[in-house]
Amino acid sequence: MQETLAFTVPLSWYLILAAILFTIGAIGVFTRRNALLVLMSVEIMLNAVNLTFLAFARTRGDSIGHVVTFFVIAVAAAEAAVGLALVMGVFRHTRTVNVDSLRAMRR
Amino acid sequence: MISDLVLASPLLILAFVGLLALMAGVLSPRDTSTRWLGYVVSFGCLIALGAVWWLWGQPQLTFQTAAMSGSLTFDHFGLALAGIILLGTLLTSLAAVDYLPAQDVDHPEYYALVAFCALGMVALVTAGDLLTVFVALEVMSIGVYILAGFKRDSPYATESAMKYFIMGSFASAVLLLGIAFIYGVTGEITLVGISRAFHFQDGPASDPLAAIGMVLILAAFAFKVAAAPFHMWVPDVYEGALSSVTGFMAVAVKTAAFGALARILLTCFGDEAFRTGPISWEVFIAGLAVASMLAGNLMALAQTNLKRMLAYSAVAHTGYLLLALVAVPGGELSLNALGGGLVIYLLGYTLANAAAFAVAAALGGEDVEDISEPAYAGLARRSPTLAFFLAVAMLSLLGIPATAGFVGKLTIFSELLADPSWLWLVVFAVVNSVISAFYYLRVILVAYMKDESGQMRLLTSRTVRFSAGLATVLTLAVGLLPGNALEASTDAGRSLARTTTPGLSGAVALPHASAEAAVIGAPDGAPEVQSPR
Repeated sequence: MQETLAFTVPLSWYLILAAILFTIGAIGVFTRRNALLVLMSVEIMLNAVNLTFLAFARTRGDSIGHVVTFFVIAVAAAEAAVGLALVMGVFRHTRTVNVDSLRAMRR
Repeated sequence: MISDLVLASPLLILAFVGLLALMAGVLSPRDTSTRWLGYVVSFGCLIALGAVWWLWGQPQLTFQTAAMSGSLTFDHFGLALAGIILLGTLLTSLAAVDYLPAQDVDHPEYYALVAFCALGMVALVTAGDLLTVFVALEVMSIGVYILAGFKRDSPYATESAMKYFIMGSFASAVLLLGIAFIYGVTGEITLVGISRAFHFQDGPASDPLAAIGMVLILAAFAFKVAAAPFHMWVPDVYEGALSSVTGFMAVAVKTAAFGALARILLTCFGDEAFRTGPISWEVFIAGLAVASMLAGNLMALAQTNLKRMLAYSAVAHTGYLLLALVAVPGGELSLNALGGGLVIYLLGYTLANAAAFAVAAALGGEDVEDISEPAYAGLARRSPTLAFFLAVAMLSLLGIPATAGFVGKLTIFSELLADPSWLWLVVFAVVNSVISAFYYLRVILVAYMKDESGQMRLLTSRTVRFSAGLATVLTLAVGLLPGNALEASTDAGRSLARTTTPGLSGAVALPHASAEAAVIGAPDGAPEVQSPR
């Protein structure tokens, strides 16, 4: 299959792209102050991991990576549902979705 | 097929109880009390505990179906930790029965979530592959995020849940990236398969991606077990959540995360290349332990709020527990036999914290987050039994002889001393235990000696009393007669060796006879601990 392609994207390119995405997500989690953008950053991180799994599965030619990816997508959906509900909960109290407003317990 | 279902019965019982609670919540009319569900969940935990007890005595614990035998490992290590988790869930659910109506959050979802979290935890400590580890961890974590913010009217609870959620989902992503790297290097997802690939093939173990993957997985678990410097979320989350939820988090989440950490560390990364190689988990874990003990104990000294103090004390206890992983005898892969210290320490810690948080629930009254000195000053006059339960819990956390906490500390320290080069670490841990005496004894002092008639209203509840009382009785029973518990925990620790011996056994769980042969190779696995008299 791969031989028929004129040019195959090497594994390292996928890994570098995934690493860049993961780093962007990680930086986003720590620098973004809007809770919704933090949630989106976490999603970017999870998708970077999905890309890593699929790249490895493609190189190895097995199906484990694909199976894991499906589970990750399902779990990410559940996490997003809970995360959005929590953002709503925070908004009800503080009228803002800024994570810096979460300082009621800092003394 | 039927035998597989019987083997998975602890998981199935918890899933059934969770669904039952959920259906009861849907079908029961609004504004009717659902506290009876607390008894249902407790009873379900009791039945699951019975199933674990029965499975413990069975000689053969392997699944017939190929798909299940790879992903779940019901060895004695997993069963022992599952038992501790179920015990913790039972005690904290009982404490919640009267506490939730007093806090005006008497919703049936609470008990459904607790049952599903317990399901995730039991799956986590018996997981046989990294995908199961991830899914079980998320089943547990997502439930706990919701439980942490269960009191929606409280800004503290929602803040605590939001913080826990952001940090927790970040840690999950880090864990997943680590799993992806390990899968990429070895092409395997089962723990035994990964261990074999690292041990018998030349390439994978020396691949830098393997080391990076290991560090990522360790960092994610360091977050989940609340080890310093990954502990920033702990005090806020412990303080803001309902006391019964905090108790649940402190005992069950920590036990489950430690079980998975120990299993992954000693199975996947049991090879010497990872243990003492250029990037060594031994150094990493020892560093985390030192940082956790120091940070936890020093910060706890400064706290006036009981729940915040217990949060920092949980960080300190993570430090002691990590020592049990450092203490695993090195050398050949077949010698990676965990001692019983981790298991029995977790048992003592679970019992003491369940009692402490049950008392905290009784003290809480209307205000969730502030359980400072006025709340428990002179408790001995208002309620001598609760004061006694609190005192025993504090003494057990401190590690005073005749309590379960002492047996745990003694076992871990003596396991660590089997290798004299760790003497400095033991001395450091003992010095830290002495520091911890200041803040644990201060609680007892305030509860017994301070002559203030507290203004705070006590929650009078039979179930809270029963829960704290049961935990106290078990703490003292394990402390005074540790024989059986020590034997069982050593057996549990040793059974992990069966999964870490790819060269000798190859099978995930073997009958006892060949497992003995695998462990006999260990010259001084863990020294026999003299039971304290």
